[in-house]
Amino acid sequence: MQIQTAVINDQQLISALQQGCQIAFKQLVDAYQERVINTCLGFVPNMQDAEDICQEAFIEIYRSIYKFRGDAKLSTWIYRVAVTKSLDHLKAKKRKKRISFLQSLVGEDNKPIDVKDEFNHPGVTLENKERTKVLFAAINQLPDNQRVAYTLNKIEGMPYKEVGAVLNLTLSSIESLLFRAKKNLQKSLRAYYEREMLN
Amino acid sequence: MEKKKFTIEEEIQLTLDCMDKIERVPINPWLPTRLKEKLKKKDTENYRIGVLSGAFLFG
Repeated sequence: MQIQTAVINDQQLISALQQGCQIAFKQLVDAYQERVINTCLGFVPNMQDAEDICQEAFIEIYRSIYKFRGDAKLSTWIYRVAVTKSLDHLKAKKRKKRISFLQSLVGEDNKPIDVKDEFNHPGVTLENKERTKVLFAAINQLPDNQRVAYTLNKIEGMPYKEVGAVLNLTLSSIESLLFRAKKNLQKSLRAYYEREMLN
Repeated sequence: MEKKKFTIEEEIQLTLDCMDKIERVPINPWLPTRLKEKLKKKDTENYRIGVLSGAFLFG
């Protein structure tokens, strides 16, 4: 089969996937997993969770590829799935945390999960670990759209135009989101370090 | 040696700069195999759910 050996373009890959070709799916995973796992780690800095999200994202891609109409680039659509899955994971975790907190109030043994303790990003050196942990905690406080724009631009090195395609927003909206994200990060980091210096 | 103390503004900048120092995680060669297993498992589960709901409907 030609697909096994030749370098194929996205359109050919999509057609093969829509016909249920397993080899095409393996090719898609090989081509995109580096981008997907690093994006997931940008939102969930924990290797085990990020790997689970990455797998869920590819399963979603496999299952819904027949819906893909080609309105966006394949990579844009894949990023959208990875981002949505990562945000869903964070929301579920927040819900779980709230429930455990309520359970602890009524005397259950479950303690709320400490997000800071779960920092386990394999791409962060020991030297930068503490500061990166603080940065991720600050990013965690940003509204979703600022957080997505900042993460895609900084982690994936994505140009503004492509971030706009993933978020379905104009270039000027992305510029404004990134400006606000940076301002908000500076503000929360300042508050954090002021508190730290007092202690 | 005493650790250098930074001002708050320097700390903020150093923290923001950390994002550029994150190294990219390489690919996991076992991911396609894991995905294949997971998809197979999910298909079996869906089949079981289908059979069970059929049994409830017609049983």
